[in-house]
Amino acid sequence: MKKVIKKWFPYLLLTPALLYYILFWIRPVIRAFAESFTDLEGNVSLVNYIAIIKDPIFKEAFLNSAGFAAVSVILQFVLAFMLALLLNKKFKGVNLLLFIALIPMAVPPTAVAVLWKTGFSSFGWINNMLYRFNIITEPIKWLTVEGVNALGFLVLIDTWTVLPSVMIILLAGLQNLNKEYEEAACVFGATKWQVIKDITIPILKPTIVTAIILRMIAAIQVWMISVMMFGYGRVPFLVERIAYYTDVVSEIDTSYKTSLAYSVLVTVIVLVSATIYLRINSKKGSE
Amino acid sequence: MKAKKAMLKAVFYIIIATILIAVLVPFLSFLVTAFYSADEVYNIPRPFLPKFSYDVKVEYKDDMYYLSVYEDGLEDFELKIYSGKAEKLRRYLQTKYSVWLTDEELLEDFSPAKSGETLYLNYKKDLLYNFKTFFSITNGADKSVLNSIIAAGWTILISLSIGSMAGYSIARFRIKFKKQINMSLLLVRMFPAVAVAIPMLVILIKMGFANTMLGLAIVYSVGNIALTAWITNSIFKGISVELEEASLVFGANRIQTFFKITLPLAFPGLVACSMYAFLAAWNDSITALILANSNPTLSLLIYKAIGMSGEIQLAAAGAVILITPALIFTFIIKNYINQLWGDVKF
Amino acid sequence: MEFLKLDNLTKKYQNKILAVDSMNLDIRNGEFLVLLGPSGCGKTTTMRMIAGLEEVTEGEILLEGESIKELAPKDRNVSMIFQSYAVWPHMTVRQNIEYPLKLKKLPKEERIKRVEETAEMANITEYLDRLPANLSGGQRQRVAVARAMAVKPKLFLMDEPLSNLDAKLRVSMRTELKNAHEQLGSTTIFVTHDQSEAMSLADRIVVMNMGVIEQIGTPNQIYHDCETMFVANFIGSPPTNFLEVDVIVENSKVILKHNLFNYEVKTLLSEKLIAYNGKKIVFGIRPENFVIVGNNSDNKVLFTRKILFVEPQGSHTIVVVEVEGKQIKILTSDVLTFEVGQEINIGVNEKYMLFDLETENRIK
Repeated sequence: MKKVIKKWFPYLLLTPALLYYILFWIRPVIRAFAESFTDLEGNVSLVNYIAIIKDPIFKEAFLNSAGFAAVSVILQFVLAFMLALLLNKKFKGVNLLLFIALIPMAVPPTAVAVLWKTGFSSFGWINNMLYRFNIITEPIKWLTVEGVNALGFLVLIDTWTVLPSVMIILLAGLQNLNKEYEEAACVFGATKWQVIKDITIPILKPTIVTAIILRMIAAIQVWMISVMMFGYGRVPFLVERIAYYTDVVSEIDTSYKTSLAYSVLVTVIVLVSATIYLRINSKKGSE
Repeated sequence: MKAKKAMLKAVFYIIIATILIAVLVPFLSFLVTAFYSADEVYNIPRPFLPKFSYDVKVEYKDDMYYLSVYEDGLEDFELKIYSGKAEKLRRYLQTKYSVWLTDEELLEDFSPAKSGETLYLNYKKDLLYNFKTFFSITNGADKSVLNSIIAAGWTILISLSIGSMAGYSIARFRIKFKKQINMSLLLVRMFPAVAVAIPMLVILIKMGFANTMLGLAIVYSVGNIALTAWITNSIFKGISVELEEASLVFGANRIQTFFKITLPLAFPGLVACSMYAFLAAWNDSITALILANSNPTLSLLIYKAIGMSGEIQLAAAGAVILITPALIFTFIIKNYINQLWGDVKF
Repeated sequence: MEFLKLDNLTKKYQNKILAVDSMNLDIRNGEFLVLLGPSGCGKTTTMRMIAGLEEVTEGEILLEGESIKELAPKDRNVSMIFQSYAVWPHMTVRQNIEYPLKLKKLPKEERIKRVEETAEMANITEYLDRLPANLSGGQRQRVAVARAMAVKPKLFLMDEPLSNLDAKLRVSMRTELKNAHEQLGSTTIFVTHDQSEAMSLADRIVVMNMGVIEQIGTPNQIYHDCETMFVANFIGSPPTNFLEVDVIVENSKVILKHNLFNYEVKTLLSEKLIAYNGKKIVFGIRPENFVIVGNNSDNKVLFTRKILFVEPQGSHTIVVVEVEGKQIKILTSDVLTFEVGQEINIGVNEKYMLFDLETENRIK
C-alpha cells in the first residue's frame, strides 16, 4: 500500500491543480466556445459571428488591435532592449535607476488611465508645463485627437506603462548571460555593435522570443486605455468591444452572446499569432 | 580618444536623464494632482507643487461678506464669492479650496470685518482632502478597498496552495509529460482573461458566487496557479535534493520534510508568488467588471469613477491608494529579477 | 627590446581595493610565461589588463615599444583562451573558429584554409559542424585553442584554461597547449594557480601574491632559489618546512640555535648572518632536503623525533614528525617500512634556505 502511495504521490500533488483547471478553465472555455455558436433559442447557428462581422465597428476594432499590436510590440522591444543593455552595466546608482524605471510597471491599468487623463485633459499637467515653459499660449485640446493620431497616442501611453515589464525579462536574460562570450568576441576583434548583433542577441534568442510573445498577446487585448481616454467607441479595439457589451449595453439579450463570440475570436487570434510567431522562430533557429 | 570617451559619457548621462524625466515627470505630476484642491486642478498656469494654504481677504458690506482669494497668477486678490450666509461661504471654501471650517468658526473669524476693516486671513488647506472626500462621496469606496483585500487574500490562498503543490511535484519527481505540462502552464498564463471570465459568469451565478470576492478569486487564480507552479518549479529545482534526502535519512517522512525543510527555504520565492497573486487581484478591472459589477473592487471603482464627473483630483487620490501596494512590491523584488525570470525559455 | 613591458602597472577598484600594485615585468619574444599565484593575487586581473578587458588605473603596457593601454581589445592583436572557454553556443565549431577571421576581414579562401589547419592541429576536424552543446568539456577546450590559434596572434593569452578539466585530461592538454605555442611561435602568457602546471609549462614563472610580484624566474630558480618565504611555501608539494632559530655568532662560528639542535653554517652564507647575531631568523628546509640518518651513517644527525604519520606515495614516502607543535614533513625515497611511533634520526643537506623573519626575504 505504501509503495502505491509513494509512486502516485507526485501525481497526487498535481491533482488539485488539474481538477481546478478542468472546472474553472476547460469547462468555461468549451462552454463559451459552444455557446457562441448557438443563437438565443439554443439552435446551432453562426448568427453571433455574422452579426459581429456585419458590424462596421468590427473592422475598425480589428485593424486597430492588429495595428496597435504590431507597432507597439516592435517599438517596445527595441526600446526595452536598449534599456536592458544600459541597466545591465554596473555603475553607481544603477539600482535606484532600475527601481525608477520599473515604476510605470507598478501602476495598474486604471491608475495609468487616471495618470494620463490628468495629463492630457485641457487643464492637465502637460498643458500646464508647456504653458509655464512658454511653449504654448493656449491649452491644447489633446483629447480631441482622432484616427491614426489617436492610435499613436495610445501606443505612446501604453509604451510608457509597459516598457519596464518587457525590459525586466530581457534584463534577466542578459544577467544570466556569461559575459565571457562577449569578452571573447571583443578580444577577437568585434566592435561593440558587432558583439550585440552577432553574439548577444542570438544567444539571448529564447528570452527575446518570450518577451515578444508575452507582449504581443497582451497588446492584442488592449482596451482600458482607449476607453478611459476617449470613452467607448471612439477608438475601438476587440476587447474594448467586449467591455462595451458587458458594461454598457448588457441588458440587451444578444450582448452576452456577442461578447462570447468576440472573446472566442480574440482567443483564436491570440493563439494563431502566437503559434505563427513561434513557428517562424524555431525555423530560424534550426538553420 | 579622450574626446570620444567624453562624448560617450555625455550621451550616457543624457540617456539616464531622459529615463528619469520620462518616468518621474508624469508619475510625480499625477501624484501631485491627488493633493490639489478643486481650484488648483482647473487653473493654468499653476505652480508645480500643491499649495499648503490660502490667503483670504474678507470685507463686509451691505450685510454680506465679500470673500477674495489671492491668485498667484494675478498677484492680487480676486473676488470669488459674496454672501450673507455662513453655510454658503463655508461650503465654497471647502469644496473649492479644501479648507475645513464649521459655520461657527467661520463667523468667528470673519466677524472683525463687520467693524469695517478689511480682514486678511490665512487658511490651511487640507492636503488629504481628496482622499477623505473620495471615500465619503464615491459610493462604496471604503467597501471597495475591503473587497480588493478580500479578493486578493482568497487569490493568494488558492494560488499558493494548489500552485506550489503542483510546482513541487514537477520539480522533484519524474513525471511523464513534464514538457507538455510546462507548456500548458504557460498557455494558461497567457490565455485571454476575457475568454474565461465571460463564461465563468454563468457558472458563478449557478454556484451562487456571482458578485462575490471568492468568485473573483477563483477566476484570478486560474492564471496565478499556473504562474505559481512555474515559479515554484524553478525554485524547488534550485533547492538541492540532498537537503531533503538528508531529512528523510534522519527519519522524517515526506510531509514533514516538505514543511520543515523545503518550505522555509522556498519562502522568499513564495513571498514573490503571493505578491503576484495579490497584485493580480488588486490591479484587475476587466474581470471584476464582468463578474462583480455591482460589488466592485477598488480598481473597478476607480475605473467607473473616471467616467463620471470631472473631479479628476478625487480619482487621482483613489488611484494613489491603488498604486501603493504595487510600488512597494516592485521595490522589494527588483533585486530578485534574475531568480524569477532568469530561466524562462520558449 | 623586450616584447611586452609592464611598467608600474596598477589596478585599483573604486579607489580602495588594490588588485595589482605597481607591477614591473619584461616579457621576451617567444617565451612561455606563467603567472602563478593563489586566488585573488591579481594574476587574472593583470592578464585582463593586457587583453584590454580591464582598464588600467596607473602605469603602462608597452607592446613592442608602443603603448597599448588605450587601445580596444580588438586592436591589440592578442588572442585569448578563457577559463570557461567562451565557445559561442549558437555557432558551430567551424563558425566559432571562422568568426574572428571574418572580423579581421580575411578573404574566404584564407579563412577556410586556416579553419582546416587549426582544426587539424587541435584534433577537432571531425567536430567541425557540431554545436558546442554536443561536445565534451575537453573538446570545447580544444575548439577554444583552435579559435585562438587561427588568428595567428602576436600575443597568446590563456586564463586558467585547464582548471575545469579532470586530472588526466589536464595533463594531456598541457602538452597540446605547449605544442600550439611552439607551432605558432608566438609569445604566451598563461595564468594558473596550479604550481605543477606552471613548473611543467613555463620558460619563466612570475609568482604573485596580493597584487605584487614575489619572484620571477625559471622553474628551477623558483623551486631551489626562492626569494621570499611565500614562494618557498607556495612552490613544492609538500611545501617547505619553516623553523624559527636564533643566530649565535661564537668565535667566528655562525650557529643556528633551536630547542632541539644547533646547526653550524659553514658556507659563505655565514658572512651575511653575522649581521643577524642575536636575532631570530627562519630556517627553511624542503621535505626532500631532510635526510633520515641510518645507524651506520656518518651523516650528521640534527635531531631525533617520533613518527606521527606515514604517507607512502609509491616512489617515495612522506614521513611526518612533530616539532614544537608544528608538523614537519620529510620526503625520502627510502622504501623502508616506517611505523608510527618509531624514532628516527633526522639530518639535513646543504640545500636549505634562510629567511629574514620580518621581511620574509631570503638571506643570501
